Amino acid sequence: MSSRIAQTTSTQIRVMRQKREMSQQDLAKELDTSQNAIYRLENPKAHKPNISTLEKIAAFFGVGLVVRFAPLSEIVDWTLDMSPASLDVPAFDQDPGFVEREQAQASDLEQYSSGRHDRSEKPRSSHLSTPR
Amino acid sequence: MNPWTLFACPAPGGGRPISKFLFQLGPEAENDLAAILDNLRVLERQYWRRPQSDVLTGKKYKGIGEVRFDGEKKTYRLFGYFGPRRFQFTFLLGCEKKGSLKHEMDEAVKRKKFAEENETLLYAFTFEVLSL
Repeated sequence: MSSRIAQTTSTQIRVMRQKREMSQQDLAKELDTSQNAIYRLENPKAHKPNISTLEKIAAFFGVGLVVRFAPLSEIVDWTLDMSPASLDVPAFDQDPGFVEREQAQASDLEQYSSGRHDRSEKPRSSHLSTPR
Repeated sequence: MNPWTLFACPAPGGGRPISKFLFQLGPEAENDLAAILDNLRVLERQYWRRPQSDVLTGKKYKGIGEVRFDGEKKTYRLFGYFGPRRFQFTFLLGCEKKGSLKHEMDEAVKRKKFAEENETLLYAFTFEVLSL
C-alpha cells in the first residue's frame, strides 16, 4: 500500500509540474521551498510528505486532495479504473466537470432571460456555483 | 489518450524470460513494479521519465527504454521498447541492477530486433499482483 501511495502521488506531482512546463526549481520557488525538497517529493523512494505539504501542492496546482480511509476493495477499483486524468490532474479552470457545468448553467440562464423559459420556473442549475 | 498495452518478447531460442524474471521477484519488488506500471499505463509517452522510467542513451540503444523499480533492498531494471505499434510497449529483458548492465543492454538490443522481426510471437504482458 505504501508503495502505491508513494508511486502515485510522486508521479502526480511530477506530471502536473511538467504539464505546466515548470522546472523543479520553479515549483520550489512558488512553494517557498528548496529544489531538493521537490526532487524528494517526486522520488517515490524519498517520498514522505505530510498532509500540509500535499495541501500546499494541491492549492498551487488548483486541484483537490483526498485523504481518507477507505475499504481496500474501493482502492482496487480505483486502481483498475485509472485514467490519464488520474495522474495528469486538470486544474480547476480546465476541469471538464466544471467546464460542462458552467456551460449548462450559462445556457439555462440565457433561456430564462430570453423569455423562452416558463417564468414560474427558476433556472435548473441556478443553485450550482463553482468554487473560486 | 488510449492506455498502453504491454507485451513481452520471448527469447530468440524459446522460453519466456520476462515471465521467469517476474516469478523470481520478492513481494516488495512485485508491488513496486505493479504500482509503477499502473501509473505508466495511463501516462503519455513524454511522461515516461525518471525516476520510474527512462530511455537508454547512446546510438546503439536508440528506442530502448527501461522501467526501474526496487524491492527487498535490490534495484531492478526491466528493458523494453515503444512498439511494435502505437501505444504498445514490449518488455525484452529484466535484470537486477548490479554494476554495469552493458551485457544486458546489448541483449535487449538483440531482442528488440528479434521482436520487430517476429511480431506475432509477442505475448500479452500480464502481471496480476494486487499491489496494495
